[in-house]
Amino acid sequence: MSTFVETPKKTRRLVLALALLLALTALELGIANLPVPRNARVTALVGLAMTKALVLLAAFMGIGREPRIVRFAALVPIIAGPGFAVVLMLEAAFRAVTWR
Amino acid sequence: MSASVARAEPDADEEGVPAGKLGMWMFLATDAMGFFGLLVAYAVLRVHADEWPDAHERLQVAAAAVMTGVLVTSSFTMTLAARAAAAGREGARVAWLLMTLALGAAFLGGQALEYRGLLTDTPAMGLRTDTFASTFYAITGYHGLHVFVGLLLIIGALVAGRARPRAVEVIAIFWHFVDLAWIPIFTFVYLLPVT
Repeated sequence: MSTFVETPKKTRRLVLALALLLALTALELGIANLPVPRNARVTALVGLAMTKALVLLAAFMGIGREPRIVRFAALVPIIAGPGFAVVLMLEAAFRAVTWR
Repeated sequence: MSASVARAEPDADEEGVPAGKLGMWMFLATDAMGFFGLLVAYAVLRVHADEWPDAHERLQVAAAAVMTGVLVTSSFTMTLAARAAAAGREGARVAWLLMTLALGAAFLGGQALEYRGLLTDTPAMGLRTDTFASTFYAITGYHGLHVFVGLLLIIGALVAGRARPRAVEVIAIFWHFVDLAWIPIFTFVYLLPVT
């Protein structure tokens, strides 16, 4: 960031990202109370959370401008975490089948 | 980053990444695993529980949404503080850091009020009331501790006086991570509906 040159366009982009994050949070709150099937709500809420995380990573953390090694360090837990969750879910499903 | 910039930074590696910045990213990569561990444990306990309370009945979800907005806004002000530090605008750096500090303190204050309300409600949601309560306090408390550390770092940057852009940039990365970690917590703990 020390090589950063501030322009009104970049500041506007930040303001837009903030507005988007606030709007998505309000949308989450609305969806959580919608009388629609649970699966639809869960899918929408998880999708919105992932979108918010990506906006924050891209706009505020500027992950796209970072060198490859930094992007790699940041992506490892982002991929490994959900990967671990999937393994746990598969393991739980396997146990549920074999215990019957 | 060009080779000339890398040479100008004595603590940078061959790709021009300053050691402090790379160290913070590495730390956050391991710290993120801690948050993932807690969230996965929460998910496993929730899936295997015979009964799981509706978060909307116990927690002030709207207040938590406002706290989310406060934290997101603090990320915005922190970015502006880092940019002001990089541009050498001392007054703006201090102002944005103070704003971030105020927003972070407001978030922690909101969390303290939430805890007080939950602990004094009837029936109270104590640490040992049930699995939902235990996991709620563990996850949000762990996150709150990160916010507290972030506030200490910001105070450190303010007390240090003269602008050190690299230090503010590294603190900003940590602060954004604290915001990033709250996003799945808000969704999984406060919003996801029960079966």
